[in-house]
Amino acid sequence: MKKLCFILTLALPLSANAQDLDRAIEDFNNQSYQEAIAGFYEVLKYGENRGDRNDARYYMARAMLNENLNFSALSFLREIILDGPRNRHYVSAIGYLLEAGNRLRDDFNVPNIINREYGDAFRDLKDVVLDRVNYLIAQVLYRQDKLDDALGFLDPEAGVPPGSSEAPAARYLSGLIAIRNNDLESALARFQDALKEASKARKAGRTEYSDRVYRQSVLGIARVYYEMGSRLGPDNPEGVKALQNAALHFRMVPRFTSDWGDAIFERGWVHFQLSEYGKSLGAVHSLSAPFFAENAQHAESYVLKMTNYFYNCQWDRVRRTLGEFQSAYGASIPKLKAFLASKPQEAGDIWWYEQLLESVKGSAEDAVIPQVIARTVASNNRYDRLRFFLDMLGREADALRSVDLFKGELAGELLTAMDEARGALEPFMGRLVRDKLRRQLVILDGMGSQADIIEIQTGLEEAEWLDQQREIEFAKRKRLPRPFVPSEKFQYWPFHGEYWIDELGFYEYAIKSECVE
Amino acid sequence: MNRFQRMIWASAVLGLALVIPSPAQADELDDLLDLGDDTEQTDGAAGDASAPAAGDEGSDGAKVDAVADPSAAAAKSSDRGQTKGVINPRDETIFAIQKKGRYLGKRFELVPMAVATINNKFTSHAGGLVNGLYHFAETMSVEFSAGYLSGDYTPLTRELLDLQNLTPPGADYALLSWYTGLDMQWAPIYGKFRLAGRALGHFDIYMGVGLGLSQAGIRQVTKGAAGAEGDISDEFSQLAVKVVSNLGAGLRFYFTERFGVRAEFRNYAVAHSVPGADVGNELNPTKELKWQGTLQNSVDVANIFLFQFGPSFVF
Amino acid sequence: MIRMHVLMLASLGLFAAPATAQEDGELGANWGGEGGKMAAGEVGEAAKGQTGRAIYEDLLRVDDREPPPGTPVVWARLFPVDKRFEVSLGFEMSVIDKYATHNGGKLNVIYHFNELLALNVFGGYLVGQANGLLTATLNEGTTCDPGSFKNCLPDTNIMSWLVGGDFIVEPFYGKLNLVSELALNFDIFMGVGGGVTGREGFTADTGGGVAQWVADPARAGVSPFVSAMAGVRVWLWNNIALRVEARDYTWVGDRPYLDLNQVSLPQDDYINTWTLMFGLGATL
Repeated sequence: MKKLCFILTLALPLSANAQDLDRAIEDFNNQSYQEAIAGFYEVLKYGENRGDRNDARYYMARAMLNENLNFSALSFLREIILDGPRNRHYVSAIGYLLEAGNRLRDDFNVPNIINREYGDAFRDLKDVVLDRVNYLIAQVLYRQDKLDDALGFLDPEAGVPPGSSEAPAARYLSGLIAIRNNDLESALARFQDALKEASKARKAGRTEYSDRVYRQSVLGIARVYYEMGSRLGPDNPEGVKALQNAALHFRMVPRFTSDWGDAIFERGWVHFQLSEYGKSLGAVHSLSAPFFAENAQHAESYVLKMTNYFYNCQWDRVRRTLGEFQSAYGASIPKLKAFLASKPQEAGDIWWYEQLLESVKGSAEDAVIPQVIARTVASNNRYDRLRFFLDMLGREADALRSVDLFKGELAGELLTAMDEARGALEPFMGRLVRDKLRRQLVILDGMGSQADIIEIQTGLEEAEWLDQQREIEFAKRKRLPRPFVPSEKFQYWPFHGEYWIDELGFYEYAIKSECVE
Repeated sequence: MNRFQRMIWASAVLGLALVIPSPAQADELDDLLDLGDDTEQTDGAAGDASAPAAGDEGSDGAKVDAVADPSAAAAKSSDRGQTKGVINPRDETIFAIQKKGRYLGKRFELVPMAVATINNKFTSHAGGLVNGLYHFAETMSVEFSAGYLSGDYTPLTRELLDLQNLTPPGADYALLSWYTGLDMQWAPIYGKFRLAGRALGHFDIYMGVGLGLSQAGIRQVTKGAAGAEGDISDEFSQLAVKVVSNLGAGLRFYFTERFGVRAEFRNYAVAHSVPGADVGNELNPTKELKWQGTLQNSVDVANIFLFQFGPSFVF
Repeated sequence: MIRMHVLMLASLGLFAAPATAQEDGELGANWGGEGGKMAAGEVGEAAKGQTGRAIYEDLLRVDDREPPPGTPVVWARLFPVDKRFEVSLGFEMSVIDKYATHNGGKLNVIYHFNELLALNVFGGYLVGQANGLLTATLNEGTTCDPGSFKNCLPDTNIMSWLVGGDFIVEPFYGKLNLVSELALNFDIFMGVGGGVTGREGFTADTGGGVAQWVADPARAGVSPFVSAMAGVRVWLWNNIALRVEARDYTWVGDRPYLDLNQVSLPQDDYINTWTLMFGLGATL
């Protein structure tokens, strides 16, 4: 009798744990995920059976994913993966880990975990998951400058096959590796592969991501052609062909996409190389419209404009552009420099981030960082993704606090993890912002130096012209004839100072060389 | 400096030489390479709070030291001929060659329209037309129209009859009923507008000329005898089918690739002839010219100015 | 100077696939990617041409996006009117006349609260006279009895001086191009308002053997009016514009008319005077 009682006493907790797990699984299957999470956590913390605890952790992570508690899910999935392949949920956890990383736009945690844990057990992953794993690892290796290793993971045969959802990005990354290896022909081929893959992906189901890869592939091709054309030179017919291809591809970037401004600017240089000064100036003109000028730094476009005028010996217009450059950026440089030296001693690195957020939103006059510069940094993709991650952490923390079921140990543990994550990320974010601002300062300084050189050269040319008693300043020049309108599907509009949204990107100048050889 | 010399100068100054990237180029590479923060083999934020900070300070410090003092460069400026501010665009020949908002070439268009006269004097018309167009070019099209107009006499006509026992000449009484015609349209004027500061729209202004046929008719007007009221019959007496020429202009505006609206002013010119004596002046109660003792037909060219408006469906 | 191609990596977001909603609409241009039309290293056909035409034709195949919400349609409007006065002087003439024609002039003073709303105060003088139709009734028609109003035509009043105001909305600002040569900016506006006008009326004068319509002092007075108008302003120079307005004045005549000429059926005489004004305006 005593033995039976003893056995029964021992059996009771075990069966109670099993019942808790079953109950939690039932809640999970009934889509009562909050109850399921609370139940699984109980089992995880107090369950005596190791298998049950393992199952509880796995299902709890999945329930968290269903409740959009992505960071919390990521934490527990990471634990499963760190257990190693012996954990029966190892392979599944990898897939869910990738999903959590996707939702958080995480570029650090998940790729690093995957890279470190990569092993034989990954062969059991479904193809679509394995492709993503290969791509992420290639990404990490690329950042570590292990280019050949990265290429191995991107290989169409052994890494990311054609037709895979990761194929466009994988081919694109291979193209970047080819560029790093200074192999332009391979880069071009790979970017064109990326374009084909992206087009196929868009046909299957268009998303913002597939559009972005498509555009970046187009830009990649354009830039390679530009490099080829530049190296061969505009006097070489092959060089001209390459430059024309570059212009064609730059024009393929759709208007009002995030890459449109870059495409316009870089096309400006292509046209300059092709001696199409009117088109080059037109590209710059688009960038001077408030749509671009208020939201991104384009100091270099002024240099391009000055160069076009210099090439056509229009010294007064060079000087006028110099004045425009000073108006646009003359005050920004010292203001930015002063800001970069103004961080209070007691403030943490997050201060940079906070100041950037203020400067982006408020009025330009009150911004501590020149607003155009602040907006340029804020449009950086890496910054944007990190900011998204931080925002998601904040929202998840709020969500955790609002659920009564989670109050107590579970919320405490998860919020502590989030605080730690934020504690690491925020200073990193602050330093990222600081570094981006410093880079902007370097760029602006560089442009300022270029402008100074142009000014000096212009002065020398003017002196030479004056010696030859030639006119160097014109009050007004004659308006040049109307340009060629290619077909009825195009409309011609003269520009007199008013920017219309649908004309951006289509501007051209008519310019006549005033050089006397 | 000749053109060749300028090219060499530009190449050297502007960093077009590929061997030595300019500071901006190098910075773009750094923008990539500073992802070296991530080279730390850590679990990232999920497991290791210090990971993202590693390796960051040193590399940035070097870059900061390398930054040239910008204020000196900015302070150098020529004081000759610099125009600060926005360039006067009237000094430059700047233009936009932009894509049209909507394309119509080689497409069909169907436009049901409500129509009404706007130059009503003795008569007024209202009704509907259905127009089918084929655009054989962006600016040129051919249109087939068919429709029905319901005509009546204006208050002016009734007032003259009731209060003054007067009627206008018979031809001024003529009304149109059905109409069918063909015309050519040309749209040489294009434009765009901003609506209420928010929406952008494109339009074309077109003009058209054409010919058609219409059934003319008349409702008998009887003057009152002494002390008696005048009368307008409800019965529509048909006259001949008339050739109608039309000339007009309009505006077409498209909301989407397939839907828009059109508004037109169109003048229909038709020569009316209302019989005189044969039926005892019943159709033409006014005094008209007599020729060899016979009351002549009342003849007039009527210009019916219609405003036409309707939705447009493009296929 | 040129951004190296490796710039893409940092600016991309290709490292993770954001889960965003599917986009509707047709797929975009299939440049170089439709089933693999372009081989590696191949130069696209369209790019081989030296003329601009090929590149422009390519533009037609790119699927452009819509601007971000809230993006202004126009920046640096060429002819701003916000918080400015406009003075316009014009010639006004009546159209779609019934029994009388009017010709005259008008001065408008407009204050633009913003690009959309404005207030107009105007004053002018119109010279009215009987038209041919009304004159013809003297020869053929019956005589009006001013006591009972029998045989009296309605709408035989004319306007003279007038003063009023409008509340104006200017929702359309645009430009048009005439055969790709001349571009003109314009505003289209509409408004409602009211005012007062000096009223005169005709009476038949059969003395001297020739019947004619003359002004009847007994019919003079002041009438209020309401008006509705629409117009277009075409900008000619920096602040000078051609202004064309179509306006309807609705006002009450001094005496009723008899429906069907029956004394038992008197009707108030509402007169519509339609005018067109052509003027020049200057924005101050």
